[in-house]
Amino acid sequence: MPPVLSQSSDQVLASIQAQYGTAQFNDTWECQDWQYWDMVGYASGAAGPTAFTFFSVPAGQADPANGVIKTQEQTNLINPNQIGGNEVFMATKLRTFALNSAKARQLGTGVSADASFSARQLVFARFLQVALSQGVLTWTIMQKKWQILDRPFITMPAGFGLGELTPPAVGTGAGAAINNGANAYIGDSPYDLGSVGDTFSLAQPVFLAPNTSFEMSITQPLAGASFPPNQNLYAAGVNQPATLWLGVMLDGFKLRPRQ
Amino acid sequence: MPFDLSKTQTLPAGTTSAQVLSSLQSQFGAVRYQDQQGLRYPYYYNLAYPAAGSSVLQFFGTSLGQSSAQITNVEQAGGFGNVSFLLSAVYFDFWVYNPATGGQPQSYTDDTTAIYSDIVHGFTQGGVFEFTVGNLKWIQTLLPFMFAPPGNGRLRHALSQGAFAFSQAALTPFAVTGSQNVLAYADLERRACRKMNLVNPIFIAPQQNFTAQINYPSGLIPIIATAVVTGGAVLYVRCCLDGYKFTPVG
Repeated sequence: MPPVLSQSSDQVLASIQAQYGTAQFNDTWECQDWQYWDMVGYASGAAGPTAFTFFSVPAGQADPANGVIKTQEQTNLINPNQIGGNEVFMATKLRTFALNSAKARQLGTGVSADASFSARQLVFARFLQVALSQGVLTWTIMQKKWQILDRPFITMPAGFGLGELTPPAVGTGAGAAINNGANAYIGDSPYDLGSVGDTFSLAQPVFLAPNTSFEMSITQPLAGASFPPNQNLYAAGVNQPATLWLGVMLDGFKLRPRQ
Repeated sequence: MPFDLSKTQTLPAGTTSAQVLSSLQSQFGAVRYQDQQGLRYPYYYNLAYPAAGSSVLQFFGTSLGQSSAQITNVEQAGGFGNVSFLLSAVYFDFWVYNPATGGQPQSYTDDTTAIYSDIVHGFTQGGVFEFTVGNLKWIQTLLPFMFAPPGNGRLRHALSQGAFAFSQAALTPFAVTGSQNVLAYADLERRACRKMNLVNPIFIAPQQNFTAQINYPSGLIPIIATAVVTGGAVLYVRCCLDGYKFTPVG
């Protein structure tokens, strides 16, 4: 049907699409369970960081804090600050988490070879307890403050993690490093029971179009305050900073045209 | 349109070969393809984790016939064979196989002897799981051993620890004079609600191919507890695709 004067450009495009489109944008959409995540490195330094900016450095670029080239393991966002691609996304949950890099990926000299690494978690657990108890998450979508919530690692917990565990401790030998046989472990809350779990459910899903721009950050806005420095966490005689990542995950549904 | 082979001489005009085959199938078929029965059927794959780690852990790359039921129960590598499958949950697990002649797994504090170190600082702390059907990624999940843990119950465990020794002198606080080692224990989250239940199940038709793999693009994660996984011991990681299998009524 050739276009007529009364038709809008949208209608013309829809007609062309319906006849020749390589995907059925107007007829059938598919919905997938999906998550978008982004991690940022925990900056080293005696002062401690004051802000973490998420979803701004895509995979393939270096994390500005620790210099590690980000891969799919740190983010699956292709474009900075937007979903991109041909999909739209409905965010239903916000999850925050801290990930201590696997031992083999710790950048500190000698850490990966430390046979008593597991027994040295007390200092790290103390650090996490402080770091994860503070901060303010701000989510801005198209210049509009969509969410401001304090203490995000507590109020928007991961909802995933390890199960039961008892950290090891030794009373002799390497015990000097672990406070007379004491040890500790701190992880994100793993409780997620769907809509009634600990994770932060958005009562109404947040709809993000492919090029909807958004920003997300976790800051410590108190005057003169900062997150704790990640130095001297592994006291294997060489006081190493931890290679630590903080992460945010948008959990929800990806919608795309059926192909 | 049923017809009797012993009586039918001619077929009506327009009869297609598909109709003839359908009629024969309904009368003589060993399987009733028009009637499908569904049953819950978790498909699993146990993969030996390489000691040095791997950039890709590829699950379901071999079939039951090519390996054994301890490894997998899929009848076709990279697919479900001649059945339809509705994938409703995905979860991951691990276990250590110790041969009868091997040493017992230890639960001590040294990283080289305790599997604890691998769970807390090893392979569970990285990776991205991808489930692809054809060319389309249907699932992409960060940290699969934590985000999609085994939701099938857990072993009860009780660790008995040694007591501390104290000394006390007048007007001085307690002093710890000796202490025992504390055994290490760690496990994945195992409550049923925590496995990765898909809100949108994925239907996979017979003979459709899929890939299920964990990628570690940020670097290999070797096995830490080498004393546990030497002497013939193997650390297996398990991927389970849980859902409903639909097969013709036989």
